[in-house]
This record gives sequence, C-alpha cells and structure tokens, in this order.
Amino acid sequence: MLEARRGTRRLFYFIHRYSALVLGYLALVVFFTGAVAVYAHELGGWAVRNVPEGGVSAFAEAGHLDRAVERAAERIDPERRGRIFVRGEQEGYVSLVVLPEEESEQPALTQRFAPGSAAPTFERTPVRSEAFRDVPPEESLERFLLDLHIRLLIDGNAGILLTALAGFVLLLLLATGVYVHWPSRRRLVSRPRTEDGRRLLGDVHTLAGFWSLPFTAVLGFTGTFFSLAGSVVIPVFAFLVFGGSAEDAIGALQPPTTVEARETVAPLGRVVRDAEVRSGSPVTRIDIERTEEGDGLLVTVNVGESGWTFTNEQFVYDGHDGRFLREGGDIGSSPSFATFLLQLIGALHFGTLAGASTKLLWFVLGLLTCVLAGTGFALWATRARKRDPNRGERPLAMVTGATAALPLATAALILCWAAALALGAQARGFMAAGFFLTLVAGTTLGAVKPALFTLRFLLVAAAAAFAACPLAGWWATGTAPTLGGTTGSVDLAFTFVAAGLFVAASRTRQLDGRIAVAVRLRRGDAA
Amino acid sequence: MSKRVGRALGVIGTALVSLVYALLLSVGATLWLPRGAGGVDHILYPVIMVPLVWLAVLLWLLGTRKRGRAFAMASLLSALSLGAVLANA
Repeated sequence: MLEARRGTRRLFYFIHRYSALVLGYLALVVFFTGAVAVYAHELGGWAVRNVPEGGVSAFAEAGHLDRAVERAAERIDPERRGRIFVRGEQEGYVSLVVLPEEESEQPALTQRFAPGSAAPTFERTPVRSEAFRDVPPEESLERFLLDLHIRLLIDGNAGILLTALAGFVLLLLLATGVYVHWPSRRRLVSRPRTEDGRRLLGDVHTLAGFWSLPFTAVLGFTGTFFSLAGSVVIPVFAFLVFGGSAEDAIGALQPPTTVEARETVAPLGRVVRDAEVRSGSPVTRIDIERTEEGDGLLVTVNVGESGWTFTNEQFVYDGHDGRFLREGGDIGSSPSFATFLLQLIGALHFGTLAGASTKLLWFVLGLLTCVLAGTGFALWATRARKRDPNRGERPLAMVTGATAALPLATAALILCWAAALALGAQARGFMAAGFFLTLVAGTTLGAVKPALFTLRFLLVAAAAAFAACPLAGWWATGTAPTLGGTTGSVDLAFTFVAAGLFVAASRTRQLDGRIAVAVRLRRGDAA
Repeated sequence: MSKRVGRALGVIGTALVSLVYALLLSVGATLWLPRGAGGVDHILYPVIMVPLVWLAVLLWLLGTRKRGRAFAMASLLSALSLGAVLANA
C-alpha cells in the first residue's frame, strides 16, 4: 500500500515537473497575456483616444442606426446575406458588420462610425472569416492582445488547441502540485525562509500556489472550456449526436422562435429605446438575423455587458415590427441554471464578475500565477545546478531571462504599435515582431550574463519602456496625454507600472547573496 | 528507449485516451441529463464539464493501483455511452 502510494507520488511528481518543463513556458505566455488582456479594452480605448461619448444608444438616438444598417445591408446581395452585427466599441465608436451566408464566397462588409458621425470613418470588405479581425490600425492593439492570448496569433484551430493545452496543463499542474507539494499548516502561516535562495524560491512557489489555488483552478477550467468547446467538443457532439451537422448542433441550443415573414423592417432606434427601458442599462450589441424559414427577422439586443456589475441581459424582438418577443439570449428558450453557469464562466474568466474591482484583482492574481510558473522554472534550474555543478548558472539565468522578458515584451509591443501607426506600417507584424523578438532577446541575455544581471537589466528596461508608452501614444495619435478619461488613466497606470518595475529592479540587490548561496556560485565561478 | 521517455509517452497516451473517454461519456450524458427550463441544459452541462471529466479520468487512470481494471471500466462505460448515443441518433 505504502509502496503503491510512493509510486503514485513519484509519477505525479514526474508529470508535474516534465509537463511544466515542456509546456510551462507556452502556458506562462498565455497566463501573462491573459493578465494583460484583462485591461485590453482599456488599452484599446487609450489607443483610440476619443471623447468617451456615443455608443450604440447615441448612434440610434441621432437616427443614424437605421440608415447605416439599411445602406450597409444593400451592399450585400439579399439572397446571400447572413447576420448583421452592430457593436458598441471603445470610446463611443460603433462598428457594423454584415456577413454573407456561410457558404457564400461574397466578401463581408466592416464599417466603423466615429461618435456623432453618420458616415463610416473606416470601411473594409474582408473575406467572411476575417470580418471581425480586419480592424482600423488604431484598434489593432486591443485585437492583437486578445488574439495573442486566445490563439497565440496562430490562425485556425491550431492556436486555440494550443491555448486549450495550456489551460489543461494548468489544471494538471494544480492537481499534481496539490498531491506532491501540499504544505504543512505551519508552513502556510509562516513567512518564506529567506536565508537561502532555493528555500526562498520553494516557499514562494508553494505559498503562491496554495493561496492562488481557487483562482488558478477557475482560470484553468474556464480557459480550457473556452478553447475546447468550439474547437473540439461541439464538433464531436455534432458528429455523434447531430449526424455531423454543426448547424443542427447549434440550432438545438437556440430556442425556436416563429416570426411571420413581412416586407417591413422595424425601426431599430425604437427597439434600442425599449431594451434600455426594460433593462435600465445601455445597449452594447445588436444582432439581426433571419430565422430558418427565410424571411422572418429577429433582433437580439444585449445590454449591460461591460458594466460595473455582472449583468448581461438579452431581449429578442420581431425584426419586422419591433414587437418584443421574449427575454433571454440565443441559447435556450428561457434562462436556466445552465445558461447562468455559461454567463458565470465568462465573467469568471474575464474578471468582470463585479466590474472594475474584480478586474484589478484578476490582474494581480494573474500575475501571481506567472510568479508560480517563474519560481517553478527557477527551482528546476537551481536543482539542475545542484545535480551537475558543471552546468554553471546558465539554466537559471536563461529561465530568468525568458520569464522576466515578458513585461518588457508587453511594453515593446505597445511601442511597436505606436511606431507602426506613426510610420503607416502594418501594425500586427510590428507588434508580433516586437513581442517575440524581445522574449528571444531576454532568453539570449540570460545565456551570456548572470541571472541577477539579466533580471535587473530586463526590469529596468521594462520600466523605461513603460515610462515611454504615454509619449509613444502621443507620437502615434498626435493627441497629447491628458489627466482625465481612459487615456489619462492608462497613462497613469503606465507610470505606476514603470515606477513599480524600477523599485523591483532596485530590490533585486537583496537577492544577490541568497541566490549565490542557492546555486553556490558567485559571478564568474561557473568555471 | 529510456525509462523516462517511456513513462512520458505513457502519460501522453493516457492523456489522449482519457480525452476520448471524457468526450464519449459527456456525449452520452446528453441522453440522461434533464433538459431544464430552457430545453438546453442536457447539452450545456456536458459541454461545460468536459475539461473536468477529462482531468478526473486522467488522474484516475494514472493514480490507481489497478490500472488495467480502470482502463477496462472506462472503456466499457465509454462504449456503453457511445452505443446509447448511436442507438438514439
């Protein structure tokens, strides 16, 4: 019995160590970009720099909504027209997307309307699959951050499967870590032992892992669910239960709504007003679709999606006369615990459970998950040195470089976005190059310099880069930094992050002696 | 092949097999779970639970002392689940 338990423990330790070594860095990039993506919308608002007024409500109130939808719909052959989407974007912008039918080769239509403007300020006709990704350059920062986190910039299912793998590895690491490293009660309430670096790393790893356990478990589960559901689970369900038809599978989730086919189209402005009266929150999204019969029009209105509290109400209207049909979204005929669970999973993953306060908490806890990964790598590197003294400090310095380069890489992608916008270059390519080359440079620095030098250098460089971000935003958009609004708040946040990184860099001196004890080397004694 | 590589391949294989088991068990659950007020709960619950079922099956297969029996039981349950789904399709 005891021997069997030892065998399980050894196997779980093996899984914990090697799954982290093989897939841990991929997962770390997903966690870190996820922590940053909590504020992707705010960073997007900072990049657009416009007056925070407008949105779908103001657009409809000014009478522009009906005309814009009508004109855009006319651009696509009515026989081949699919769904029409209206979305409230950052800082009062409104986006309008008209999709062709799924099998149609006709291009989609994407438009952006600045606050108060009846004419589109941006227009593209991308292929169907690119309709939501072909955005104006100034909006590409938010889209890039989300794409980096959701699909690691890899098109198709491959990127999403990789992030699903990262989420599942997090769950597996938690389960095996709890089994292998469960701390004693005395360790949990005592401070990390600081007399030597390896004990310090081990204690920080265990304590960070234990206290962030509920958060990381929720994040691993919700992240795996989001990535797996669309790429694996729904196709498998469709294949086995619905005879291979994904449309039938999705149709089974949607409530049957019968709408009589008529020539008239309801005034959307009236629909928006009615939804706002019913909910008391502003409209953020409108979906216009045809029912299966062909000419019946349905309008789904979402309200309160990005408010301060966890609310996401949906109302469905007859698209011909604006008649209110029912409450509830496009899943299920009426709200149930399962649909609530689905919304809760979204709020738990995106940190919008209780608005701005949980977003900050999610950001901090997301960074704590990265600390967990970073200390895990460093522990492996110090143990590798202990087993084989000839390895020198290089493994520790390289994992330090690869991990500590992440804040610098984030600042670098923001600076690259600004440079691309100012120079009229392709922003996505610039940002991808800035992010990944910085990670490679950080790891390379670790290969040639000691760990503490690498850590200190990367922290100072990241601090300088974040301090330069407000000026870069000014350079790119031509709008000076302000104290108020989203632009001012994000500029202030950049300054705080830069100051925090400078303080962290200055405190790395205290680690000097402890790391040296841990790996039994001083600079230059690797030989 | 070193012992370490063999063990790693075993874990990867078990992870893949347990994903298949989790998908089949979840698909089968659509038949016996209640439809709920919205008429979709029987589909939503299994879809939501797939990552947890995957993790649970994987840890069970790896952690048990009688691994052969665990694999046989998981295979039997998955086959029953698949059979029920195909019979109802």
